This record gives sequence, C-alpha cells and structure tokens, in this order.
Amino acid sequence: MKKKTNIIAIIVLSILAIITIFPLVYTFLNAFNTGSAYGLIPKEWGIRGFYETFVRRPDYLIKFWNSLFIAICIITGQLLVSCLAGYGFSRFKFPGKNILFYLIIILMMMPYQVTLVSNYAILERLNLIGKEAAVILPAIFSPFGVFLLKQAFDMCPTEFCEAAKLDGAGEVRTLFSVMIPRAKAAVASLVILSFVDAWNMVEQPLVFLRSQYQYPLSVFLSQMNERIIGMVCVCGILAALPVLLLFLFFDEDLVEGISFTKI
Amino acid sequence: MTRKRIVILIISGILLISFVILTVVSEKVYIALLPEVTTHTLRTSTSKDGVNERWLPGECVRKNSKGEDAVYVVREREGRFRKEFYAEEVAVDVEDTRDDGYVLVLAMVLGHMDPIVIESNLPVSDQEAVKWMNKAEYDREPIR
Repeated sequence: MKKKTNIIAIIVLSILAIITIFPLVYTFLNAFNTGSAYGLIPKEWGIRGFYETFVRRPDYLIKFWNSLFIAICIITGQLLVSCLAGYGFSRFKFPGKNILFYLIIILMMMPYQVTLVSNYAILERLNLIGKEAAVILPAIFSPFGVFLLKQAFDMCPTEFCEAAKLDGAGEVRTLFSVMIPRAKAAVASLVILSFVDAWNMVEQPLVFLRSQYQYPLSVFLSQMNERIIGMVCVCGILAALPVLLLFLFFDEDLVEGISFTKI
Repeated sequence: MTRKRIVILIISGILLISFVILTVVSEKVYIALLPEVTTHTLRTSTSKDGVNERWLPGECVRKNSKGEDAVYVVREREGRFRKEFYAEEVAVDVEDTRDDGYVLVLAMVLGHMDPIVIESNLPVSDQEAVKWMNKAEYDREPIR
C-alpha cells in the first residue's frame, strides 16, 4: 500500500515538474530557432538569435547593464534601510511603535500600483522624473524588508545585545557585529527576493523613465515584437541568468531564512 | 565558502567579463552597419501666387511600410553613449512633378533647410539611427 502511494506521488510530482520545467526547455530550444514559427523542436536551427542579441545590436546588453545597475542600487539601499528599521522595531520601545509596524504590514499588502500616482507627484516635485533615481529611491524603502528583518532580529536572544553593550559596543556596532551575522539567513533571503523584485519591475521604469536607453531588460522584454524568435528566447535566457545564479548561490540561506521567520 | 559558491562566483565573473566585451564589440558592429545617408537640403520657395512651395528631387520621396509616399528627415537625438542622427519619417502628398525630376510635396511638418535623405546604401526606416555622410556640406550651406 505504501509502495503504491509512493508510486502515485512520484508520478504526480513528475508531471508537475515537467509542467514547471517545460517553459524553460521550450525557451532554450527556441533560442536556436532561426525561423519565424514557434515549435517545440525548431524546424530551422542556427545561432542567429545569439548573433543578433550579442553581436549585431548592443541594445539588449545595455538594457542588461541598466537592469543590473538598478537592481544593485535597490538591494544596497534596501539592506541598509531594512536592517536599521528592523533593528529599531525589534530592540527599541517608543510611542506609536505598534501602530507604525501595523502600517508597514498594511503597506506590504498593497500592490505597488496603489502608490504609483503619489510617487510620481513627489518625484516630479523633486525633479527626478527621467532619472534612474526615480526608480531606485521609492524601491529602497521596502516594507517587506523591514518586516522580514524585524522578525529575524526578534528571534535573536537579547543576551547577545546585552553582552555586546557590556563590552562597550554602541547600538550601531551591536547591529552590524552581532545582530546581522546572526540573522544572515534572513539577510540572504531579503537579497534574493529584492533582487528578483527589482530585476522584474516593469511599471516603475515605464512611468518614471523617459528615454528608451534607460529602460531595463524587463521593460524591453515586455515590449519585444521581433520576428526572429531565436532573439526573443535568447533575451529571455539573458534575463533569467542573474536570478538563477543568485538563487544557486544563496539557495540554502533562502530556505533557512524563510523557515526561520515563519513566512 | 563552499566549493559550489566558489564555482558560481567564477562562472558569474566570466559571464560579466564576457558581457562587457560583447557590449563593446556589438556597439562597434552596430555603428559600422548603420545605413549611410546623403541628404538634400529642403528649401521653401514662394510661387507667383505667394504660396510656399517645397520642391524636392524625386529620389527623396520613398514608399514607407504602408505603401504611402514619405520622406526621411535627418534629426539629432541623445543616443546610448553620445548624440546620434536618426531618420524621421514624414508622410507627404506629391502635388506636382517637373520635367527635371523634381516633385512638389505638401507636408506641414517639413521646415526650411530640413535635411531630407536622398540616397542611402541600406533601406531606412522611421526612428532608425543613420550615418550622415554629407553633414559637413550641410553645415556650410548658407541659410536663406
């Protein structure tokens, strides 16, 4: 009976795995398609897609660099802000702390489109529309990051902070030397999730940036209307590569971080 | 650091360096393969009736992707790394033809001294970057 259940489980999970992996395999195979018709097995094979993407035109690589620049800036800012805010919510007592934290949770639930118009109005007043800072600055202040790190810092025993204080460490030293190393898994989770979010953003660059040369790869992929199917699929692979590498680098920390903060 | 992470770091480093090299190479290839265009300067003349007329060589008028008559005006814009020239498509109506091959076009957006593409080594499309071969001659022309 147990063996039968195992076989059924294996079959079901295999089917689910095939369904999940199928789009990736399809994209990879069609990257070598030089024709104008999609197909699981391309009828015309070649590397024209790779030539058009990497040699013939610099558009895609420039947009790759735009995406990388925006993502790295957002992650750096988010880490700094989330660590400081998470530590403050976790370790300090101040009036309105709970109300403020609940507001952050409510903000976390809202889709970004809700605050898009108000963000545009503020950025226009600051003369930032048309600059990369218009995309980076609003994304740095992430409620999810604050929530995640607050939960992670809550799990750290207070005795560590007290021991650090006894040794003469201030709050900033305690945060960077004691708390963050202990919450490494949560920090790694935040890096991955923030990178994926920043790498895939489409609405913010479309609304806040003016020049097509500033657009990241995600916007470009959403607007692609090329007849060379191979090129479309190669751009898709190009967009997936950094996320894949980052996940492979941090996969153990990600699983540990998500289970650690009970999300 | 585990061996897996070291391998991933090495692969990432190799990919980044490759992408840097490919970005430089593709930019050079792109510039080398841009259409080379020669322009004719549009001059507005006044007819006996006092109407502004625009006569252009017939070679300037081309068929666009929709099969309509159009001319391509060379304009300047901010490119990826520097200013670049591009061709802007302007739909025109051909009103008359002269014996010398010149045609009379009607188009509100065409201005006096606009450089119109007369010759190109490759097909030109709207908003496409181009290499303007006789820019120096255009700059030297007196504005009347």
